Amino acid sequence: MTVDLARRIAAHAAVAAAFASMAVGGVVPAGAGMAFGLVVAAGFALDGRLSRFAPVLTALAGTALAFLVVLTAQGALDFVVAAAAFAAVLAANRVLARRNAADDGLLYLSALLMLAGGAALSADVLYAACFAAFGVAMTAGLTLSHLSRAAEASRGGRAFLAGPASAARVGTVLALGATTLAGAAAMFAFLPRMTFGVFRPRVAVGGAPLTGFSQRLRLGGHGAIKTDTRVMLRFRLGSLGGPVPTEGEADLLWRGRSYERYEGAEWTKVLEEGIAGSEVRIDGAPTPDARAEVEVLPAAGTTTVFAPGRLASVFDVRPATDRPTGPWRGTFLLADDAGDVTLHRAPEEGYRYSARVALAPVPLVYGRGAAYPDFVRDTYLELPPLDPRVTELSRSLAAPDADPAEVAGAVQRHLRGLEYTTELPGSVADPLAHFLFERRAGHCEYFSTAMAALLRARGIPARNVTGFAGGRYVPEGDYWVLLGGDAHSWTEVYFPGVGFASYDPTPADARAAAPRGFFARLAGALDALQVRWTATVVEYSATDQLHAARRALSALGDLRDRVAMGGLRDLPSLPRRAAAAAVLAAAIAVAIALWRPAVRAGRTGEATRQYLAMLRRLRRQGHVKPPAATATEFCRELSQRGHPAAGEVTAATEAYLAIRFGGRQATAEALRALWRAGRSRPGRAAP
Amino acid sequence: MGLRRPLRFRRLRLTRDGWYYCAFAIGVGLAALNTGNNLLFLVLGLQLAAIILSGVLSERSLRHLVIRRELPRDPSAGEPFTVGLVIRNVKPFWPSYTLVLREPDGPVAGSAANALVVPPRSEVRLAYRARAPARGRFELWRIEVATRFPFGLFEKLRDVPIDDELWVLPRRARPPEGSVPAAAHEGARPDGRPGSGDELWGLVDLRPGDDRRTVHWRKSAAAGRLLKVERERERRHRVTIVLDNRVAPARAAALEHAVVAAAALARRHAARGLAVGFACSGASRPPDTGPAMLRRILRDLAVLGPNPGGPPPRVAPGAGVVAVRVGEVAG
Repeated sequence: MTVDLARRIAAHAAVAAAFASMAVGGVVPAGAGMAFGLVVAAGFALDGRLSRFAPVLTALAGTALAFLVVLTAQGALDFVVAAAAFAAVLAANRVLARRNAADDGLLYLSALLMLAGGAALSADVLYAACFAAFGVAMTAGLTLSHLSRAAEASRGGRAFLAGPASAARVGTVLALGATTLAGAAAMFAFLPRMTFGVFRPRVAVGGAPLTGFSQRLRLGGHGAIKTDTRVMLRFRLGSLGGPVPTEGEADLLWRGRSYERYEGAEWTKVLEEGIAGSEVRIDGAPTPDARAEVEVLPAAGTTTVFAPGRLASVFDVRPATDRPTGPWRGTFLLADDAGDVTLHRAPEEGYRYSARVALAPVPLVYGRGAAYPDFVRDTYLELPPLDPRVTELSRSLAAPDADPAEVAGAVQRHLRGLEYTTELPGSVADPLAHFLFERRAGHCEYFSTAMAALLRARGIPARNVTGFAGGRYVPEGDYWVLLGGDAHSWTEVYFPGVGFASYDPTPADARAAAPRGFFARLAGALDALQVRWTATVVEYSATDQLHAARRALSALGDLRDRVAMGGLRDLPSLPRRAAAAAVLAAAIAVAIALWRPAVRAGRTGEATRQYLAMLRRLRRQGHVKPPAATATEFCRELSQRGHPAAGEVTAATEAYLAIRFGGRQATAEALRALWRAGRSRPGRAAP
Repeated sequence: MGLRRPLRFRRLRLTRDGWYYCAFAIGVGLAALNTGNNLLFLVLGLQLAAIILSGVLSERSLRHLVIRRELPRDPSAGEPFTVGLVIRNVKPFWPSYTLVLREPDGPVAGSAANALVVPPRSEVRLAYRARAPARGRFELWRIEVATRFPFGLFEKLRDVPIDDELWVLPRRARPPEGSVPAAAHEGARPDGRPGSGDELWGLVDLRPGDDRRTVHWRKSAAAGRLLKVERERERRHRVTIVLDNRVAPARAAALEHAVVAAAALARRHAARGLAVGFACSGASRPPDTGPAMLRRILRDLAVLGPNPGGPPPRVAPGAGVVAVRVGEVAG
C-alpha cells in the first residue's frame, strides 16, 4: 500500500463513518444509504476522474439543497434531518468532484458536518463506534493529506507518495488517531456543561416500530418479527414475597393488549379506555408478589403498559431519559375493563414505570362451573360465521359436559400438536380454517386465535392477548431484556371466581424460533453497552462533572489519609493505584519536558536582548560597534582603547555567544552578568 | 543596515482549511451549548483535541534543529546565486516534517526552501536561488522556520538565529572607455636588473649553489664550461583607482554609476595582472596583486556611500592613477 493509497482510504473511510453515524439514527432510508455507499465507492475507484464534471455536480448539489429548503419550509421535513441530508449531499459532491490532496480539507469538513448531524439524530451506542472510526480516519487522513501536499511541492516528493506506507508509518498515524480520541474523551469530560436552550429541535428517533399493540390485530401481520433482535423492554424484578427469576431466561408472559371481537381475519378492541390518572389499580387483582421496574424503548413504538403475570397496579410513569428533547408536559394513564393500561402520550425517547404484579400461577380453575357474568358473555363469546369444521372440531375435542378447564386443556393440547412456522400463508378466504385443516401450521397469532375461537364455539369466554414472552438476563447491566422476537400472542380464558387465566397453545418451537443463543446474548450485551453509553455520555451533565470531581478529590484525600496512617502497604488494590501514579508521573514528566525547552528558549532570547541592550549602553558612552566587526573584535577594540569595563564586557560577550550559538544553558548568573556589563560610566574614551 | 528586530518566539497562522475548521468548531460549540446535546460536545471535543495535537506535533517538528547557511562568496548585484541551507535534526527519535525555511531579511528576503522530512539525528541539504538587487553588506542574522504539520490547518513559525554576513559586490559592467592610463601597460615591464622575470638578461658562469636546471647545455658545450641563463627582473604595473565620493547624498545615483565603473576597472586591471589599489574619501589601499586584494577593493566599493564632509582621497605615490569622478571618468 502506497502513501497515496493510504491517504485515499483514510479520506473515504472518514466519509463513510460519518455517514454511518447519521444512518444509525434510523432516519436515513435504506435506498439513500446504498446510494451514498455507491458514491463513496465510485469516488474511491475513480480517484478524481470526475473532477472535470465539477460544475455539473455542484449544480446537482445546489438543486438538492433547494429541494431540501422547500421541504423544510413546507414542514414536510424536520430542520435537523434536512441539515443532515444536505451534509450528505455536500459530502457526495466533494467525494466525486475532488481532484487531489488539496481538496481533502473540504471533504473532511463535510464529513464533520455529517458527524454533527448524526449527533443530533441519534443517541445510539453505534454512534460511538462510528465516531471512533471517524476520529481515527480523520486524524490519519488529514496527516497523510498534508504530507501529500507538501510532497507535491518538494523535490523527491513523488517518490515519497509512490513509496510504501510502511507498518511503522501506518502504526504512527493510527496511534495519532487513538491519541485524538483520547483527547476528545478528556475534552468531553471537562468541557463545562451549559445550555442556552434557545432553539432545541427534536431528536428524530427512527427504526420501524413493532406492530401488534394497536386497536386492531390482523392475522398474519407478525410473521417476520421472530428474527427481530432489537431490545424492546428492559426490566428489573424485585420480590414482594414471591420468587422472582434471577438469571438466565425467564418464563414469563408479559401482557400488553387484549382483543375482544373476532371478525374472521382480525381482532378488534371494543372496550373503551377511561382516564385513570397517574396511577392504576386493577380491580379484583390478586395480591402482588413481585415488583417490576420497566422501561419501554422507542423501538416498541407503542404506548402500552406491559406487565408480567397478572397486573395489580401501575405507578410512577416518567420519560426514559432525564433530559427529554422537546417539551414534555407529562402524561396520564388510560385503562379499560379488560385490564389493559396505556399511556395517553409517550415521550419519543421511551418511558418507564413501576408495576406490582402477581407472578404466582393462577389457582385451580377446575370445577368453577359456567356461570358467567352477563358482561363476560356479551363481550367474550361473540363469533363470526365459522367454517362448520371449526365448530365440529371444538365439539370433538372434549365431552359435551366436560369442565371448561378440561376443554381448554384439550384444545391447548390439540393445537400444540400442530406445527409452528413463521411463513405466512398468503391471501386466503378463511385463515382460521386454512390453518386448522389444510396448512396445519402457523405462528402464535393463529394458535391463540384458534384456541379462542374453538372455546367460544363451546360457549367458553376467551380472548386474544398480545405481549411478550420470556426475558433474558443481561449480566453486563444487571437487568432483563425483551427483544422484538419475543413478541407473542396467547389466549386468556374466563373462569368464574378466578377471572381470566392464560393459556399458551403455541407449540414449544415458537420459543425456539425466538432469538436465543449467541445472537440473543449479543443483543443483550449491546443493549448493556447502550445503557452504559446513554448514562455515561448521552446524559452526562454538569452534575455528573461535579460528582466526578468530588469523587476524584475524595479518592485523593483517602489516599493521603491512608498513606499518612499506614504507609503504602495499607493501600488496597495497589496495582491499580500504582498504574494511576505512573500515569500521573508520566504526565508530569511530559510537562517538564515541554516546559524546560520553553524556558531555555525564553532565556536564550533574553540573552540576546540583554546583549543588544549592552551595545546600546556602550553606544551612548561613545563606543559604537562597527558593522563590519564581530562581537569578539569589538571587545578587542574596547580593550585596545583602554575602556575600564572592557574585561566585564568581554566576559559578558563570551557568555552571550556561548548561550546563543554554543548551546550552553542560559543561567540566571550569566543573564545578570549581561545586564551589569557596561552599566558603569567611566567617561568617554579617546578615539 | 537597520536595527535588528527582536527574535519572535513563535507565531501561528491559520491556513484556509484552518479557518473553515475553526469556524466549524465554533459552530458546533454554539450548537452544543444551545441544545445541551452531549454528542455535539463529543464532536467539539474531537475538534479541540485535534487542534491541541496539531500544536504539540508542530512544536516537536520545529524544535532541536540546527541550521547553517552556505553562502556564496561575494556575489555581484543583479546576478543570481545559490544559497545552501543545511538542517540538522538533533532529536534522538522524532523526525521533523514539512519544514519551510524562509529568509525574512536582507536582499534574499522571501527566498524559501522546503524539506519534506528530516529524520532524527540526520542532516538534510537544501538550496534556494536568489538575486540581490543592490550592493552592500547585509547581516542575515536569522532564518524563519515554518511547518504546517500535521494537519495543514495551522502554520507555526519560529525564528532561528543564524549570524551570517553577505557581501554583495557592485554589479558587473564594462569598464568605461579611455580609462587605462597611458603609462600603464598590461602585465609587467622590464626593470633593468637581473631577476626572476621571463626576458633573457644573459649567460653567466654557473656558480656553486646555483640551480643546475638553469644551465644552458648547448651554449655550455660550445663554450666548454657550464653556463647558466640569467633572466631580467620585471616590475608589475601599479594603478590606483581613485573615486572622490565627497558628494551630496542627492547625487547617490551618479555615485552608484561611478562605483560600478570603479569596480569594473578594478576587475579588469586585476585580471590583466596589474597591482591595483583604491582610494576614496576616508579609505585607501595601496596597490597590490592577488584575488584577496581585489576582494578587499570590491568590498570597499560595496559599502561606499556619499561622504560630503570627508577628507580628500589619498593616493600612494609611484602608481598610475585612474580617477573615477562621479558623473564622468578621466584617466
